[in-house]
Amino acid sequence: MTDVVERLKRDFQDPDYRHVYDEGFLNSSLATQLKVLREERQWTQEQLATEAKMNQSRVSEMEDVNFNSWTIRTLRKFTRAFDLRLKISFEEFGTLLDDFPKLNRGALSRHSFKDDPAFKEPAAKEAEPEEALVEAVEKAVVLPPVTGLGLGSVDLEGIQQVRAAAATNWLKLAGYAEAHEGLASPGVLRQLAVLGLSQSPMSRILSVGVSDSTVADDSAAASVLPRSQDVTTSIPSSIDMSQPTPERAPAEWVVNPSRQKAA
Amino acid sequence: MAWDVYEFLDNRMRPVIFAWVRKERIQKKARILLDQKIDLLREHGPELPPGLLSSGPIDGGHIYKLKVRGPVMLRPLLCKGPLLMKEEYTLLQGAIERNDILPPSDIAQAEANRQVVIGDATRRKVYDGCC
Repeated sequence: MTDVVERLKRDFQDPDYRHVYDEGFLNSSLATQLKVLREERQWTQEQLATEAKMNQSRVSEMEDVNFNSWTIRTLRKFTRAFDLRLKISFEEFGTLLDDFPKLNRGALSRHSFKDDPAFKEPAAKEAEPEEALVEAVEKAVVLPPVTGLGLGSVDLEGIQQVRAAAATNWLKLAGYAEAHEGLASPGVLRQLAVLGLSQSPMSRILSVGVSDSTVADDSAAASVLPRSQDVTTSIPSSIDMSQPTPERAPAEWVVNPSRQKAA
Repeated sequence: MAWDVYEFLDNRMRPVIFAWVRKERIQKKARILLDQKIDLLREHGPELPPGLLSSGPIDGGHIYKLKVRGPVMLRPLLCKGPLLMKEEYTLLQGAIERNDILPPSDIAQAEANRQVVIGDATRRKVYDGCC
């Protein structure tokens, strides 16, 4: 992108160049977004044509970076078909340099009104953090494979997600951990301590079944543990991981029953 | 994903597209639109922008055409690679389409130029605009 930007900074000194170039860029952007919006709704050109009340051949003609006969009337037909709003504004040329890399699926994607987060029902909105929380906890606490010799590892990025999610809603986190009868290796707990979560409800919940001595304080844990991406804790190979129930497992290792079932 | 876009250098080491637009006296507006489409290819590759490239090789081999609609139908011919097939395109020959037909001699020349680049990587340079 740097090469292109540098060249455009040079060539845009010419008024003809910048205006013609921008016209081409606008046409290309519209055609590309039209295609992205249609494909993310899994519509054929024929379906879009029906929704927009026009011929399929016309849609095909407009889904082309070279199409240059856009009208507001036509664009309004598409906004209606996609249930979106049309936004037209005058911009400085510098914004083109910012917009250039945004010509990708992610940046061009738009929610129809029914999926627009701004208009979701409050109840539905509350459900989202819970799902995110469950996902974050699942990702953060990586228990050893049942048949393995036992390395409990912690995904730092996952822990950070837990921290972010937990900060917004301790109650849901507690509820999740309780529902799963919480359970993690000393390594997980120590890593939580390193990350400043040792006094958190999360840590206390996860420490159920683990002796207090396994939960290091922040400074102690920090001095013991490397700050690597994958902190591991050795588990004695004598542990029979084939039958680990909370009652039978050693005090330093409690297995999450739901994971055990899955395995 | 960004692609590198190169331009073939002819026997006199002139950039082939730069020389072609002058030889054919291509209007300024068309040249600017050509630059814009090549930037599009460079920044976003062949998959996303619809209608930017021919859907497949036009010669059954390796030559594609870049489509630029303007006062004339500019169809610069190019290939993927030919050195790094998943990272770069090389513009090989200028061409103008009339009545939906490309001059066969231009397609043949594009393939010949591709072979030259395969044998000598110094016979191309990074595309830097044609205006």
